[in-house]
Amino acid sequence: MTRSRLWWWSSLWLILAPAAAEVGVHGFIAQGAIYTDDNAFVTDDNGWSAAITEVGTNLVWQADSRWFVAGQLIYLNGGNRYPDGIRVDYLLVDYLLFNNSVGDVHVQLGRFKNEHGLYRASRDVPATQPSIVLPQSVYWDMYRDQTLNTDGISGNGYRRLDWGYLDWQLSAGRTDAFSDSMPQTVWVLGDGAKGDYHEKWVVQGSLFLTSPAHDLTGGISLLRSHLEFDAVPGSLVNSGSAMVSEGIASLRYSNGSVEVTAEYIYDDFKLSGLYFPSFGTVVKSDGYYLQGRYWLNERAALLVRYDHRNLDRNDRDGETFAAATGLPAWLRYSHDWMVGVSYELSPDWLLRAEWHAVEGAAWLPSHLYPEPQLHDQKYWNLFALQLSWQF
Amino acid sequence: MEMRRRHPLPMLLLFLLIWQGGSAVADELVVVVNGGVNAERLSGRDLLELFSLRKGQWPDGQPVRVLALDKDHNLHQRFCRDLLKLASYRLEWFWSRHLYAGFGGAPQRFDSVEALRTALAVTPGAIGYLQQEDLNDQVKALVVE
Repeated sequence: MTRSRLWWWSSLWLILAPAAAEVGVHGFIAQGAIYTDDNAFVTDDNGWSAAITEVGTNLVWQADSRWFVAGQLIYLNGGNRYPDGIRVDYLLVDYLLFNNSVGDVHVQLGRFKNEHGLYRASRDVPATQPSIVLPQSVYWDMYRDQTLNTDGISGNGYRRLDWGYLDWQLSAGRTDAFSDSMPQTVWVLGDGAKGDYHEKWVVQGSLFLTSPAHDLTGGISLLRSHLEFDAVPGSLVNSGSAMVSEGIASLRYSNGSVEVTAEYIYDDFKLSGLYFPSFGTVVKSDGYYLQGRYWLNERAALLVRYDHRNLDRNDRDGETFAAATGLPAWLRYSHDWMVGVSYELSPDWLLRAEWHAVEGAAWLPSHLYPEPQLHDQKYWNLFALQLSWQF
Repeated sequence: MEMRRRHPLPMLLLFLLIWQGGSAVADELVVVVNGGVNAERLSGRDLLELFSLRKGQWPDGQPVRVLALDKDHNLHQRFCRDLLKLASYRLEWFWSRHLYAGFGGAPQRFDSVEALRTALAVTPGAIGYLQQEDLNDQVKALVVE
């Protein structure tokens, strides 16, 4: 987003806030310390870093029983994980189109969030997340801005059935995450890319089924998007496009103090151009994680997770890639074993710590042009601490 | 129907039982709504839909306002366990996700039973919970079936 547009959005916010009679204002502040022993996931020189800040504030104005206006501003600093800065996370008008005793349908216009997987829609808010660093197979930080929110129209609703609940969302529009102040281009295409990288359109849909007692939830989330890159003279990357098809299958079981979650993701990137004008290929990646949480009491919870990402479903061990390029095979996958602990100091204060033992470097930017000199370790570790407060 | 004479002793025992029971349920949790809410009873599933913020309107179109005690309050924990039958961390997840994903507002929270009861009495469309002994004539207890 350009500075003038950010200014426009912020001004609208300031005008709306005092004018509203029935307004709720909430937010969160999270600061952490994060350590990598190698591979520059957070900072190029590794070691401890404070580049793990998440701040957000939102307001909801319930205009009447059918309309509400809501908006959220977020400031993020994640080091190399995503561009730092302020984002308009959502700013929307919601209209309750239909409701009866067994369901409802809402329509949202503006910038809205997508329920793409279990944790994406509120991914920056520590209280809604299982860990400090999300499972990168499904919630890849590098692609944070591209799938999170959309400018356009969205419908969502729920329906009560005899055997449970059906929650759904269907949306269309485009994502505004690819401009000069948010150098997503560099994150995806590498330092040599110069030009305009933008999304022409994206459609997303999700369907979640939940048992009447809410102990079991299963869902499917689908996305299709068309990205374009228009190179300017001097760019090492040619003009081109990517057609992205992505799907996530989600399953969660919780009973008392135990929660088990698993999600699987597949991505098909149909690339045209970019490397050279007549280039064309389909890159098929996938990944999954399996996560268990156990609450020792109302305040303390333990977490264990295995997270697995492949950049090429047809070359899971990366050997074909290694033979073709001479680069290490482990640039093409990441296997992450992690353990973590959460403790609520009070209802509003949350303390977290976690350790990731990672094999491989598939999480790390850039996607199309790996940087083996920066990501030169097959095995590496990540530690993170985080203190968060919400109001 | 012909009335039969009853022996007084069983009736006396029954009375004693109810009287004893009455004092035992003084701390029983009940679902409470603002006096203006046009409802008398709810099913367990209605309750879950209201508290998971899916159902945003009462049948007469009035917006639902969920009110609750702080997360670590003993009564809130009991409400989740005994009436909602949902782990309190799951309820928090519903509420946080709803708010931070732009699907609507967050429930209002209170640190004391007194403050919650006052809010239930004055907030149109409000739903919450209180102990039987904390009820007064400004709020309405609902039967959960």
